[in-house]
Amino acid sequence: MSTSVPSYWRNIPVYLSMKGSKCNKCGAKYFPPRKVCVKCGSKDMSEYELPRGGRLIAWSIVRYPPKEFDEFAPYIVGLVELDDGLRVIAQIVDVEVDQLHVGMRLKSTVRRIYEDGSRGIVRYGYKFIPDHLGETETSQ
Amino acid sequence: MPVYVKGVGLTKVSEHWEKNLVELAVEAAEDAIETGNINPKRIDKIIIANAVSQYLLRQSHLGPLIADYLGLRGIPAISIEAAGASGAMALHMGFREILSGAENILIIGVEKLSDNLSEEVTGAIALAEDWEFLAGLGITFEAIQGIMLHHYLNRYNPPRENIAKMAEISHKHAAKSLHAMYPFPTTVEKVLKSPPYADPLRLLEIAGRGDGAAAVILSRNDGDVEFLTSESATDVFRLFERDDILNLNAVYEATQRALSKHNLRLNDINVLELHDTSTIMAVLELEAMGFSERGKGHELLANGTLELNGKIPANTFGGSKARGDPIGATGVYQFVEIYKQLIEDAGFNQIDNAKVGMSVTIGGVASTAVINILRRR
Repeated sequence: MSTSVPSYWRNIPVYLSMKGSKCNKCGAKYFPPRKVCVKCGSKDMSEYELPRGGRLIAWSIVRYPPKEFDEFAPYIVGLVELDDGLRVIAQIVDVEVDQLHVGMRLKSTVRRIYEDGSRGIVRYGYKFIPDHLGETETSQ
Repeated sequence: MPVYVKGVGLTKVSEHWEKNLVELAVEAAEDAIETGNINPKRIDKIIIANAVSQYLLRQSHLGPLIADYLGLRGIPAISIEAAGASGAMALHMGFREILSGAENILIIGVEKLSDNLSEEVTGAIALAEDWEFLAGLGITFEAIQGIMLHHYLNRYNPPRENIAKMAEISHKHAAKSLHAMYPFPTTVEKVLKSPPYADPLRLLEIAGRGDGAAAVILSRNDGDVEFLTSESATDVFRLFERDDILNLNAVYEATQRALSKHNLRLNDINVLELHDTSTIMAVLELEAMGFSERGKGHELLANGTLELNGKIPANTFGGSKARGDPIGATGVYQFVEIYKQLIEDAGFNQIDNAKVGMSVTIGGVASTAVINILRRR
């Protein structure tokens, strides 16, 4: 199934800059962003950019992906707790699985997610890399 | 007003190359109508449970399609979807139809997966989780469970064998089941030596996906088995937004509601159907239902509690692992299997003196949970 261009376009700030939202009334933070705070019911929300750094809590390896992701397999996906306490599940790249450990420092970066065939869009989005790596390594 | 189970039917879970979705549904439904000795004209409504036919088979609107092939033109029919919980949810809705005054409701759970490549099925299954921020970023349903298992191992440090034991139990029961997809035993050792699938989950820890259909007729007219209660709950949709990824809140909520309505205790449950989409989910379900404290559910697998002669026999026809998991139909299979135990029609897998049976069925990683309880009169 082809990827909807408007759906991707709407999410560009979320996929590329990890923009979440924050409730101006109770302070609750959300990623992905919400327009209504489910903790206090307030609609007074503002944009909130997630910290880039976090630590790895748990991970798995996708060995049998849907076909859009075939070229990447096997690849690592992990639960990451960001430095503000928000959590996200994302791909972990530029690292071998035997180098991973619980609590490992990671940081978010932008990478190609998949190409939607020869005529569709190329989707980009956040993935995580080890904190000590530079910004120029773009193997995935 | 009591709700009774009048007739049941099912097909073997398998790769049914020669049959399409409608033929499977009709086979199970005709079986239920016949065993229930129901006049088809007195069926008030048909509720179809299906999870992925729109995506894989490009077919929606299953209600009138299946009603037509059953020769029940004119009778209202609708299909519902709640991912892996579709079948249990259709029963949940049928239960309430009877409470609202209907006489007979036909529930059919049906899924056809083998017409598609396995990578397409993987894509379809992943849709039970959020597309924009999980499936669409390459995070599969199985990998989400892999993350949960990894976290469980790290937090509680159980013997790894205890968790793999779920697959051994399911296969042991499937070996004597006539409708199981994988009717042969396996061992914990083989499970842990099978290829990694979504690490740390191994291939033999993941539900076996197959085609199948199961059907039930619910009725307000007297029967041998009462459909005592059906409760459902939801949880935070995305796993990573939950306070604790190992806490299946929806399973807990639905269980509490179901038990408290009838003053039941877990001790009253004689037969149990867990939804082992993977070994770890069965463990987390046991903990959320309250059969063990948190971090100790795996002990119930290791100490024989869930065996046919144990205190709470579970997955007595092989569960999702070995009976097979026809996604949207699974909840109906669980229901039929409990019914068979209660009326002592479970063949080689019959357990002694089962009076009350309970199933837990999950959609996604339990963002939907349904608890159905049956009681022999």
